[in-house]
Amino acid sequence: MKNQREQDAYILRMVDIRKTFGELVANDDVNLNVKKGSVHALVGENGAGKSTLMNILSGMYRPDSGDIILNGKRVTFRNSLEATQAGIGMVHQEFMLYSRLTVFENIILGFEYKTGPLINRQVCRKQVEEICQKYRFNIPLDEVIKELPVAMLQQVEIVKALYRGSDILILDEPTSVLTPSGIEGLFDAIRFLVSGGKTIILITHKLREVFEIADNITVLKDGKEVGSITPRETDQKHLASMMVGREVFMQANRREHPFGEELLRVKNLSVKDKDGILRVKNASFSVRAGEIVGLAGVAGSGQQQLVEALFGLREPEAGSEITFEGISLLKMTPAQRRKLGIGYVPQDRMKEGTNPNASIWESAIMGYHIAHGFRSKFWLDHKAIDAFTDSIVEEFRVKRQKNTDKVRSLSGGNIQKLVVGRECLQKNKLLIVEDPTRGIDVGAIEFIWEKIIDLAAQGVAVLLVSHELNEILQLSDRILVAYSGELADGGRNGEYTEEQIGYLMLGGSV
Amino acid sequence: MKKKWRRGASLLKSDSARIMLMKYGISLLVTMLLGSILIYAQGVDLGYAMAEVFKGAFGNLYKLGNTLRWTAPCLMLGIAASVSFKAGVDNLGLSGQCAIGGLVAAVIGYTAELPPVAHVLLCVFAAGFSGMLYVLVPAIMRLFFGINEFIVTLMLNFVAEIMSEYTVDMILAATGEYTSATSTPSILSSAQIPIMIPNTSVSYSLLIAIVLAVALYVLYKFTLPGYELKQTGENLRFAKVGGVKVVRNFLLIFLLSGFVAGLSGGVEVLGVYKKFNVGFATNLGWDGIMVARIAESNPIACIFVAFIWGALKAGSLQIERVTELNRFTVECMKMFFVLMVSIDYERLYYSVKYAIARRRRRNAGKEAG
Amino acid sequence: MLWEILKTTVYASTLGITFRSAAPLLFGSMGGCFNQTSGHNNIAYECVMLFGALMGVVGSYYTGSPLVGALGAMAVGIFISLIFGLFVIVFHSNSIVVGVALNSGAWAMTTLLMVTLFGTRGSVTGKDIISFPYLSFDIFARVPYLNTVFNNKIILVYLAYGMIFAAYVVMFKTPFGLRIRGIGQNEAAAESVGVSVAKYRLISLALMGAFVGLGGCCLSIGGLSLFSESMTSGRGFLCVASMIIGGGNPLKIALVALLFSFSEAMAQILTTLGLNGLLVSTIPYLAVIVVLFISGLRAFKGTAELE
Repeated sequence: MKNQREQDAYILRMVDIRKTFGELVANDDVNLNVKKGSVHALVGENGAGKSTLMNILSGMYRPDSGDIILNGKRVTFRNSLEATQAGIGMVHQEFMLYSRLTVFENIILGFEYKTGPLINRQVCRKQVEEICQKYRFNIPLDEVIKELPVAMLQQVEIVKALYRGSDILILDEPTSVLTPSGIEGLFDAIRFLVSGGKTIILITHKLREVFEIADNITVLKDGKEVGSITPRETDQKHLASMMVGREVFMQANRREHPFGEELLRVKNLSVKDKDGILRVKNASFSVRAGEIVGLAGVAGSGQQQLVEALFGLREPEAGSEITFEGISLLKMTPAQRRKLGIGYVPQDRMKEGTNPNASIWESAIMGYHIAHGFRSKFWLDHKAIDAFTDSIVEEFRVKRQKNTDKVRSLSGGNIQKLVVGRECLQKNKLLIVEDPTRGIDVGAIEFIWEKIIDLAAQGVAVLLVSHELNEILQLSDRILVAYSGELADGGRNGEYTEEQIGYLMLGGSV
Repeated sequence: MKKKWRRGASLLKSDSARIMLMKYGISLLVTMLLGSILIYAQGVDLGYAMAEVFKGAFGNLYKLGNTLRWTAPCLMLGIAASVSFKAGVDNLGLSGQCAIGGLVAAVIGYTAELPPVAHVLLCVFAAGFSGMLYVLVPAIMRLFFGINEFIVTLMLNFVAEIMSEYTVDMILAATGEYTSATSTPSILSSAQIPIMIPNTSVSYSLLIAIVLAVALYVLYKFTLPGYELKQTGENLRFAKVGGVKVVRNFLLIFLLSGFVAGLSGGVEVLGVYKKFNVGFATNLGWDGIMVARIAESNPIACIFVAFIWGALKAGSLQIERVTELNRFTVECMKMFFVLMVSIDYERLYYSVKYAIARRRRRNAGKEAG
Repeated sequence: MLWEILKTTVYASTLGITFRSAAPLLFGSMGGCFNQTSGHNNIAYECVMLFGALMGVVGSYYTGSPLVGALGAMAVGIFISLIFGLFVIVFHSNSIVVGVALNSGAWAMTTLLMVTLFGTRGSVTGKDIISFPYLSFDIFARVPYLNTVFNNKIILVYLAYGMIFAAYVVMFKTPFGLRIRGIGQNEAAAESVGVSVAKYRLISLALMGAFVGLGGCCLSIGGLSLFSESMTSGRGFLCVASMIIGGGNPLKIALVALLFSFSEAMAQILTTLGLNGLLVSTIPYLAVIVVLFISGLRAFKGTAELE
């Protein structure tokens, strides 16, 4: 009897959900029980099956087997519309917004009130405004989406879900794009929503957030459910080991060593983006041989434009100076910069780092074939190509069958290792690394961190640009902080506390 | 014998081979089926019609020659299209570039007086360069202004056709010669590309086309510049970050595509027509695009597809001569074939495969349970 | 000389031709703009329009009613656009290839049908093919200038202008238009809120087929009662061009379509002045390039932005 009552408390139960994609088992008989009015965290590494499970819940996928029980009734969703009508709303990690429509249009699209065949804007408007008022969202309804900052977009997504009458809100990695204050704002909103009777399912892999906000936790690993617990029953270390199946201390072994001479010097660098907006303002800094300089900052603070200017992908404004070993880089192409010994690990491994639909070797020699070249400038020297590809594969432990496999067939971590390996094994003097560990598993993160530290120990200058503050703190010798295009000095690592750096990221001063 | 068969069977076990088979098998089958209905509806005996098409294409040396004669332009334009498609450039202006190339070759062919080989070379290269110049407009618009090339090249087709007709009018008015209302005077014999196989209409253009196809294959498969072109086409940002001069490569792709298209026009005029006929290139351009798409932009595959295309052309002329049918029937079948080949069989194959696998698992589960 | 040419731009006959010849372009681009906005790279307009022109003649010939001809044209247009949809949406074919195949097959198919049904090649005409009657309105008839420009046109011409208004309202005031715009910008987002991308694309395709077909029959039974091989001569492509330049806004698209018709009319009028008509008939095509170029100038960023 008690069992029955316990089951009634659950607004949502997912029982023995199984989903396969071809040979891959994404969800292997997973169970999820969510209590009404709670924040339920769904944690796990990348590829653990969190998103698949939630896509099943929101009607995007159909499970191979298993049941969804909503409010005690068994339901099946044939599409996302049916899930929406049942009161399930999902805020995707990649925002599902239309960049050239207004906020208001974005919210009502697919769920319009009508008079005759026309949209009744007044009624829709009133509904939206009521929701914004009730849950204290302050969003400009008539702005076009592409003009708005990221934190605002997330609010739009939440309002969009509420407008559709969602009782259960799924938030997929909601904090990955937010500033610390943005995260606070989001958590406030979540608490407010829960107090208003809504249920939240939070997908995340940030443990700290789980402990801050979640009432219950379900851990997934390799498509299987490892366990369901409450934050009171566990701690961060234990939870992390549940996620990865071993004790993980995401700790890099930074070693103190002397630095060499100054290699890269940037003075008064100003860069405009493609829309002509000044994104980097008078930045000046330098990187010495053997030194890892970490550039922290919230996404969109001008890091991308800065890096592009450093590597010759974007022209800086007049008056800017970039010198490498005393030589001005300003008029040089990326090819010339590569020849000087500058390597670059781009942020997006699929769009910039590799050619995902071609063979592994084709991505492995890109850049190398210019900076170092092969015996023949004209013919492809497959022996040398294979030798270089194999050296990356061995040293960076890329798991692959053969060099002619498609890059796409590798996992994210292996692709990232391939890209990092390619840039590390070219005897470069300066390495510009952008988000080297975004969205890969813990093992691969530690491995890549280790390699970067090794490289610096050998005297390579490293400029590390990352959106993960932890990564910056773990690896850097010196820290720079970008805030809306300006660089602040974050001092030597350890000079300021994490909170102080975070404050700098938001435009404060210490 | 048995071993061979087994090897064949194991080859069929690989997914890509099965997809290939499915793609061309289904396409051929459906095309034949629709074609048969079309022929039957016109009251002609199916077998007879097919036999005539075959006879028209391969019946004797002369007819085989006709097939090969059409293979050459289809192949060259197929290559021109392949070059651009490989780079993600939608050059739909092949017929325009081909027409301009043909016109230039014809004009130089009957005005300049030069020794035979030099004259041919001059005409051919002038044709290629004019095709190249013609493609410069969409190339610049795409590279510097981000304007989609497909509509610009499309529009330039019409411009080329009208302009060439205008030029022909002007030439005829100036010379007072009226050979035909829509063609230039014949080129001098020194500018003619000689016949390769005696007693046929196959000129050395075919050889030029095949050499071009092989050269392109070698370029993409075995050389560094080819590697860079491939990367530029498949992932432009990646190539750019890697240090490849993408703007130069992109321009090169445009120009190469235009050059080959112009060349094909010139060769066609010098080798076959011996004069410029207005509108001769209109359908050729689209044929080239279809050949390239069927061959999936592989230059070697282009040779075979172009051969089939040539056979269909030659066969369709025969069928019109001897039966009630007209050659539009064959044209329609070509359309069916291109449509069928354009289907994404890879996707189809895997979705069917996984559906079967899932059902099997479910059945197995039921039995076990 | 220049003055003569300038004067022709306001001739009643020039504007009259513009007013009439814009009809197929307006039908084509107003009917097609939803499909274009929803993100299909559809260039099969030439094919649909040609079939529409033929079906108009066929329907009119067999029933003696141009209305049946027009309905036939719409029906065949829908049929072809659904074939396009079958390949592109269901089989995931490359839309450009399907467009090229359909366009280049259209000439063969229509000619084949013409030979089979009428037994002639080249063109078909005759008194059995009834065109739409010309309409006249008294308000225009009183002023000779307006009379030439606006009167003596078939009903479809006036309807074509009504299409502009209708397309604008549908695009910006109805859920259908909003969803179509959304789908064009982010398919996954539309799918995630339960808007079936395939369904809306199919509807927009059917709209495209119906109205491009109707535009086609404006050419064949819009007064001349004639069908000839490849009679659309690039008008379908002009529809595509005006939609690309107009960028999803029916008013802008209509304006561009009118501009094209105007240059077509100019070409005809200048020929009567003794200028070589061939050269001026390149004007619409060059106009497309010039308009694209000018709209591209604003976006000039040098090659650094090559995506």
